[in-house]
Amino acid sequence: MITDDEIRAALDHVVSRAPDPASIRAGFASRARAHRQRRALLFAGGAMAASGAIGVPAVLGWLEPGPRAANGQSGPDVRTPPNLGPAAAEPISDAAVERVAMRYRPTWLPEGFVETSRTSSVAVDGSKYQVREWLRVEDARLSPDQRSDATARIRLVLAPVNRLAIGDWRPAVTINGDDGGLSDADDHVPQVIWRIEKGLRLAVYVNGVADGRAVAVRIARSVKPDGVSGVECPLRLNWLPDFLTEYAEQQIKLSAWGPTWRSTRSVLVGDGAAVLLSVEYGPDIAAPPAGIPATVRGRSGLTRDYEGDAGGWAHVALDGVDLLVTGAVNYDEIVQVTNKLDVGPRPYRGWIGQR
Amino acid sequence: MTFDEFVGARLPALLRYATAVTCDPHLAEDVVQEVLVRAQTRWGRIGSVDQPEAYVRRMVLNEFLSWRRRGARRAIPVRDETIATVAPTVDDPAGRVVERDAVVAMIAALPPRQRAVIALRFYEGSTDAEIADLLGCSEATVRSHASRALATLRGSSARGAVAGRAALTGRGSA
Repeated sequence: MITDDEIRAALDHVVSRAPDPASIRAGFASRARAHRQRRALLFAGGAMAASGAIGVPAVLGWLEPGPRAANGQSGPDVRTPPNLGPAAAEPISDAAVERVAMRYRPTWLPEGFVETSRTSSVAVDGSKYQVREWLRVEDARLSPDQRSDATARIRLVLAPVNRLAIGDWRPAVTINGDDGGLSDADDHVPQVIWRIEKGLRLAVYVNGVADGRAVAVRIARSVKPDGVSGVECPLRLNWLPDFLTEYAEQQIKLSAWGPTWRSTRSVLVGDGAAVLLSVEYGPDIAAPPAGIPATVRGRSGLTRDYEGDAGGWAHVALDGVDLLVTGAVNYDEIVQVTNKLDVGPRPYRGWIGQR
Repeated sequence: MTFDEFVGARLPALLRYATAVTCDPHLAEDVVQEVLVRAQTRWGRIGSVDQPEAYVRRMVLNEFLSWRRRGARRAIPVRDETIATVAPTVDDPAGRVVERDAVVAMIAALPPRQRAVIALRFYEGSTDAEIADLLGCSEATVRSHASRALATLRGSSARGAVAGRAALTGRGSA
């Protein structure tokens, strides 16, 4: 019969064959990197969305045509609105942490639409992605959650050619001398896509507006270089985990509804296919559920580190404005990202609600 | 203590612990690497607790016990080649080596929780209460695991001894 001593002797012998610590150290860096990548993919794949806590904003969301246009489109006649004036000069604050000029603007829009959102990528080689959005005045007061698929919406999107595919749409249209694609009458949200400069295309999406295809073409033909309008971001990421610094491209966005505004800065992966880290700043940003009290930026805030490497978040109120950092990073990293973040003055929002 | 300081000081002990618990040096290496990768990303919290090593040891145990559930990257029952790398030495009398190897093989073949209880009790010298705390179960459950594991080991030992002697003498066993 086996005695206790024999069991101890057997275990001692097994332990005498324990792995060499040097081999663990040698393989640690590559394993850590693989772990990071796995975690990033998990996050990008929507693990947090699946948790029900936070929706992961996919950048593709603003490149895709969106839901099918609603039947029974309504709205004022869009045939006789006046052309827009030149882009209004905007104040440029020295205190703004970042400002990117919007590269194109329409010089014609249906009557009643006002601008509510500007988004731009921020990259060392220039902004490749930009989105501007206009809603009807009455819809501009609604929060994004209150809007529906039928909400009338116009978007102007700048993106690399591989992200704005023209496909085999017929009939082709000519936009200021360049061939473009026009969506089928009964297929997608009415849209037109055309080449605007080498490697880049522009698209106009028109949702929930009568005779949307004709409106889209008319808006497209009115597009001119801008360079005067801009989007400000009061947020600067001064520290990121190593695996996130590989993704040089970031995105800034400013949007508003009613008296509320939201400034967002995000770190992108996969050529804009997903957001790995997002910082939101603005009034009335609620903390996700089940937060744990913690000190964030020297104040009382909330944090959470999801199980299963599904990311985490930190939330804190700064002088009446909420800050929420969400990302595919762990507790220590989310706190460090948040603590080292620059938060500048509230961004210029004078263009919101204007034509 | 920084993460690097912790690893520099405690990695050998962690590997011994993981090897005892898993009864498999290869699996121990995988488990410890995985745990350290995760511990590094949470070191701000782990490093601030009273006993970081106890925390990491618990992570090692949990990682081992969840290893099969997370995709069977490596089968828990120890492979023959693993036993071979664990067993041979040159300075033991042949008979003792065979018997010890038989015990190692029997421990390695135990279900993971029973194996962990045996390692914690006989290698770590942990009490039932400490093992219960580590495993997140009651002391009665720990005693149940231990009882079953010992019954298996002691029930198998007679058969193992017969087989070992047969191997040494070159005769088949009945």
